[in-house]
Amino acid sequence: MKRDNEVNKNNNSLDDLMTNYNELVDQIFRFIYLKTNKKEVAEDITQECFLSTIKYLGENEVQNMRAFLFKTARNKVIDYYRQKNRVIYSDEAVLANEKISSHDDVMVKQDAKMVAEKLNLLGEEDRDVLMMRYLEDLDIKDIAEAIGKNQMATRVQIFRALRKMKNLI
Amino acid sequence: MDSRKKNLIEEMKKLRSIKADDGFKFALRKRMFEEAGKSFVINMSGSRHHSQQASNLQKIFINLLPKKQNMFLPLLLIAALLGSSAGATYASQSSLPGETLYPVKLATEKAQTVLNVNDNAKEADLHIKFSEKRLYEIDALAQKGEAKLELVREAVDKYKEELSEAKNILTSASVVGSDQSIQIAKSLADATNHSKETLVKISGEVDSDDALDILKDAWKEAVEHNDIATIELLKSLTSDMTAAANTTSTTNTVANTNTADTTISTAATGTQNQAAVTTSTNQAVVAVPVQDQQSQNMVNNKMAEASHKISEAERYIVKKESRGADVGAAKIKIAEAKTLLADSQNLLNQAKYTEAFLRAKDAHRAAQIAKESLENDHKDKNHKEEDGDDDENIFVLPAAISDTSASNSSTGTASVRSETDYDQDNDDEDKKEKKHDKEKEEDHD
Repeated sequence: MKRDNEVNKNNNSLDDLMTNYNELVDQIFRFIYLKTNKKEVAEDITQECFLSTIKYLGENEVQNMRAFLFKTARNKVIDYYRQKNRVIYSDEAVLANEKISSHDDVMVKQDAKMVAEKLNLLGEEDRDVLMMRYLEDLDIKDIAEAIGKNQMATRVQIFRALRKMKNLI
Repeated sequence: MDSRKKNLIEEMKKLRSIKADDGFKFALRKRMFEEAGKSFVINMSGSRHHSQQASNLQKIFINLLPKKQNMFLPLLLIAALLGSSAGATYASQSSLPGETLYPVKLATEKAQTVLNVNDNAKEADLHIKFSEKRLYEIDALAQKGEAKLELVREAVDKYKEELSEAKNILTSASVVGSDQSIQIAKSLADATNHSKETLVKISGEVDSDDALDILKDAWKEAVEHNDIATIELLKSLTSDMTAAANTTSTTNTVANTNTADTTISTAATGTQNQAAVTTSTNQAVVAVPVQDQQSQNMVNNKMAEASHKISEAERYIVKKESRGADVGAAKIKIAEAKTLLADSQNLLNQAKYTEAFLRAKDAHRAAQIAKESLENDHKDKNHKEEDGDDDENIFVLPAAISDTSASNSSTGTASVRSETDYDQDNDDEDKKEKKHDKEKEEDHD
């Protein structure tokens, strides 16, 4: 199921960022959009992600660019919600009602609306790992790095998240 | 994994249709470039991560810039030199006169030439390219309706400067007679021809007479530099042909393909050629006709231009005469022009191309003087509207080679004319277009 990763891990991850720029922007944007459900907000946060990554690269090397970007994206979204005085979320706290009511949904096609809504009902981290795994085809290794857990824990999380979603129907 | 899970996963994949807007991606990319430039410029000096950072940023630039223009080093260097941000430098490249970033653009260009002083061909190329840019900028402004007089004037001034620089390089001691000479001359000739086309286009887009005057000025400059370039080309080509002819005569096989060949070897070496019609023509003879043809074309073009001018002047003289002006001196001048033109034809037949060209240029000039002498006589406002329809002819593209019946086709704005004039013009314009197209086809080899 894992598609051929054209990101050549032998290369400098900076090359990954540059040569896969278009693809990465799409991925990060999509990821953020599905978390925030507002196009403008998603664009802003995406922009922040990439710009701060550039700044970071001025002084540092980054080994795994893709994981780094997703990690940054997750953090930025957390910051965004914090800024808006949301309750600090945890895996359990679901702000489902608020999220659904603030949909703009312009970007989600009709046939995908169902699954998008289901995703919204999951906890943040559950949703993140599912999106990273099945929507964006990230390696377990990358996902683990992005969420700051070890690989085993990550696999478990993914398994459980999928089961939860199945049960949501 | 059970089927339900599989379905879910399939469903999730449908969300892949969500993508970021192209415009957003493009804008973000620009900003990333800017951001990278900031860090680069600021941290240029004395950071312990300098080399790593430099290589990182180098990669960023190389990959962020559109593939066509990999201007990394010059742009960053220039940005560093100028102390402006790399982002501004990059963004300025498409700016127009009057916009805030335009001075940055000009400074960038200047810096580029500075970086290339040691390479004549490269530097000349830059000046030529920049000259064309100046005209494109006017065109862009005109299309937006923002072609203010002051901006147009400035742009044309810069246009002239760039041409002048290119000319200086072309005629400099180190370039004359070298291989670079042909290369630069050809570039300049092509660019100035293209300039003429651009100017014709722009002239159709501006309303004000003042602007048109400025454009005419640019036109004259284009013509002048085109001539200079052509002359250098002719000189180079002629010396090539002489060399080729020498080879021909030493091996002593001359296929009598055309009279020009014969003339060349005779003229160059003074020996009698052997009228041996061999199929095994040696290389020299094959090479010569091509350059020959090119030179002939260039001379013929100039002669056509001169001929056109003469006719134009003659018509003007007739008109002025009918209004009672004293046209004696002008008529003499026209006669002189015609003589010069005939002279030019002679020289052409003798394959003395450079001289033929110069003579044709003289003929053109003479006709111009003849006409201008009469314009000065009636420079008052009352006659302005009658004089107007003569000036617009300046924006005429080079006549086709075979067109010696100089037609009064004009691409300028309408003016006071009689109906018959208009009909005549339409016919002539059609003829001219066909011939011009034909000429274009012939040039496509």
